Amino acid sequence: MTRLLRQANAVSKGLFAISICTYAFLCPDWRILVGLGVGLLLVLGLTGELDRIVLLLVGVFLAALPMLLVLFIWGGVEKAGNWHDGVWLGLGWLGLYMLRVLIMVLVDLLVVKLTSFSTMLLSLRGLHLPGGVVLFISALVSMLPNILAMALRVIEVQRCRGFELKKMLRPSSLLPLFIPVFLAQMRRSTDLALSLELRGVSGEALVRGARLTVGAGDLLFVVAAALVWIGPISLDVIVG
Amino acid sequence: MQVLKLRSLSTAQVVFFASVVALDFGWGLVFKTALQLTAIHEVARLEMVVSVMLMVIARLMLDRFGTLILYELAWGLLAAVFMPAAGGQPGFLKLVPALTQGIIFDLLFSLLRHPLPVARAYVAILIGGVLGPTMAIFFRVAMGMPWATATQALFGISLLTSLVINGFGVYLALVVWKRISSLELVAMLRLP
Amino acid sequence: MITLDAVSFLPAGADQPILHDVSLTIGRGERIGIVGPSGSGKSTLGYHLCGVHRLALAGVTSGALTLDGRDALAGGQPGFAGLVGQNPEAQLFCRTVLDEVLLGPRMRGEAEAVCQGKAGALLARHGLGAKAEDKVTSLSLGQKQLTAILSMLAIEPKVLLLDEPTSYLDTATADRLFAHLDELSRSRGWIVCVIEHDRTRLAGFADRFLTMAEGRLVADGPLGPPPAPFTRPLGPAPNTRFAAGSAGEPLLCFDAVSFGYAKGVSNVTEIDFAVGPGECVALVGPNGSGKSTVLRLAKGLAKPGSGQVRLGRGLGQFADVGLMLQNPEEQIFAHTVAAECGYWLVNQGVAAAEREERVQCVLAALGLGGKLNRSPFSLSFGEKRRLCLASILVGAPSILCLDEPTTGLDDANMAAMADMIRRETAAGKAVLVASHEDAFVHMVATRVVRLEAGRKVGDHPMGEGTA
Repeated sequence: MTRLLRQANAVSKGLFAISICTYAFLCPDWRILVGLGVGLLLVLGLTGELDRIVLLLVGVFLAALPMLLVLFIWGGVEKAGNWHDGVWLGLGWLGLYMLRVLIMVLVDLLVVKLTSFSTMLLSLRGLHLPGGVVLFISALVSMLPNILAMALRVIEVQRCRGFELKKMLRPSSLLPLFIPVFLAQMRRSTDLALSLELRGVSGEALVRGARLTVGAGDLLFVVAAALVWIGPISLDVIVG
Repeated sequence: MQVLKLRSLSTAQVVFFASVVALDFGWGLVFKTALQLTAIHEVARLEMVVSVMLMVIARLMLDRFGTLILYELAWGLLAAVFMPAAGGQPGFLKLVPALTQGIIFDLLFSLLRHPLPVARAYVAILIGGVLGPTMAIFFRVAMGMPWATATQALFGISLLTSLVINGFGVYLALVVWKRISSLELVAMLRLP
Repeated sequence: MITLDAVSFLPAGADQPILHDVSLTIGRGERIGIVGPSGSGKSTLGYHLCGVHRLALAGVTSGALTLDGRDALAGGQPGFAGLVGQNPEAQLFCRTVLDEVLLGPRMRGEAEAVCQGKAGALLARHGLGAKAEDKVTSLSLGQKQLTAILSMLAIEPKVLLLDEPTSYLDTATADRLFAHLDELSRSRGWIVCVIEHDRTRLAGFADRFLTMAEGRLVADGPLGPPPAPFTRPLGPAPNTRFAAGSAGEPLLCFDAVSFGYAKGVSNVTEIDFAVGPGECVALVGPNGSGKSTVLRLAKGLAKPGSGQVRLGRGLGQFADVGLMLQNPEEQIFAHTVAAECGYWLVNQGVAAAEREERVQCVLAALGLGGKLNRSPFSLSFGEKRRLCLASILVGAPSILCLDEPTTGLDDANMAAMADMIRRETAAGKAVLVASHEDAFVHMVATRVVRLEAGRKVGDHPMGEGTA
């Protein structure tokens, strides 16, 4: 099943993500949201994608908790008019809010982890978007790994003349870092573009002959996207 | 109003554009995530200074309606993929305020191109930049955050700091632009 | 195959052309060396020979340019030329080495089996066969440079331009590459143009030399004698007023220093040597031997995993060790040359008046005295390199560390750099230079320390043994 899900094109995955996010945004029932969250975690686990990155994200998420507790509890107290009811009201709101945010993050993670870069590019090409878009995204992804290395190199160069990272909180002291990195990126872009042009890689060449394919994995995603809306309604009807 | 047409951009311009978004994102990946762990990020998006600088310079380089819309769309997608829990909105929801902000930026940059050739950057970024915290709060309230005094105070502070930080960003961007705009490298990539 | 008739190129925003009335004809199978001082128009000429001037430059080309019988003033035909620039890292696009070499043939629509065969053969011939599936980001600079070159060889162009193709390659790899290029030009009629400062290597490859000076083609034929060393008078050494360490005691000492950038990896192992006042020690060795790492350790940019880096009494790494890294473009940011030069002094908290005096003194000594208020971005590469040196010397460090200070410099600028370093050494500074440029090492070093695979394998006074 994992292979099927990975082979699905980016369009069906995108539809799935939009559907789940929209549903989570609108759904007022915490039980459904908990079920959805557990379901997403299960799928992540079954596909082998429940790794340290997920835990790291949860950690980042929880780092915002203290501030959120203040906001929600204070709001609850204002609404309820007393501390006891206000705290419970605030915590209830916070729970619902966190569930919604968690589901959006999990669905995002699921789609990203099941989509390789080449699959995404194939989908974009298959949609016959302008070749420039495909080239844009390809170049974006190819340059990303080098950004940090380049920035670190410039930081090291400027450290030789007394630049310190802690001074970066003053906006004007960004210039010794920003300008060399920016110009280096510009040079890199022109060099890369020249190299690509010489090798025949232009926007239009990247989309020539591409087709969007639909498989079983796409059906799974589309069905899941629809089920999340139909399912709870059907359950309501069945249960009573 | 001159509109950005990807088909008419040279390979170098497309790659340059991608590199600026990559730079913005790469910068944010490190700085934003580090700041996220501090309370300061809730009220002051310090990493936005560089983002604003890059956006303004990109817009001055490729001076067409659509540049910042595409910029924000690409940035929002990257953020959704690589930083789903960081920043203002969770996951793919990031795309909504990003896109809206991009439209406002581009509209103001293009409409004020002749009346305010330099100051348009301040107008566009400050007005459009107010949208960021506004959309963030709107979605948070829609998702269940109480619109109470604390939230209103947080919104007010983040609006004010956003204005200050964005203002700084535009000022520094124009300083950088003054230094580099006459370079041959810039001439090669520019769409004036 | 290539004909230029009174070709000139005026860059955008400039009032002087950087190519003046160049006329020449190049036939199939010629091997061309393009030589000349920094800023003379070598690369610009090279771009025009390849027909990529519209892609690589912003400006107007006038005259007549014909490539393979076709008018090419608006640009050459796709697939006609291949080019590898000075920054090979920037030209790499794909994830793995094999993908990078396959990209061109695939884009041309060649059958996958043919593409794979071609790429495999190229990688195997140049010693990258075992690295075919490696990520491009994991390669050393030399391997990246080689990958970029092979990716161009794979498209089988009619004209190939290589700009400083051996700057990161070791001797064996460079020899292999030039042998291959020689074979390609003789057997397949490729025109191979090489821009290279190493005249010895060029003399062994090219049979025709285009000598550029100030945008003009001043010589076209066999390689002439090298130009006279740079004789522009420079000011007195700027830092003789400022204190160095006490005579005799080493100013910089490496005591059994080991260091690795990653866990389990040792980039330098048990490095042991010292640099005294008035000494210039050259660190030599192949790519990846740890030369740059040693310099970073001296400056304190990295901390040793074991052992110790000791400085002379009372000296600190922040203010007393000056380190100039390879690429001046990674440093320049200020609005004027003077501001760029004085940046270190600003960070040291030096008062404005003293700062101005020291900046003017240092810039004058390096021949940049008349350019204080110019934008540093408008300087030539050689001038930028001198500005970088000035921005370190202005701090009056007692210990001067220079990482490949001659990369991209022509003979004149190299001689000027050597002159400055000799003055600093004579003024009692300890100088540590990492360089793969033998001629430069002979000019400046009093002692040579050889590194291989992160270990010191030789340490002898200049003149004994080989550099």
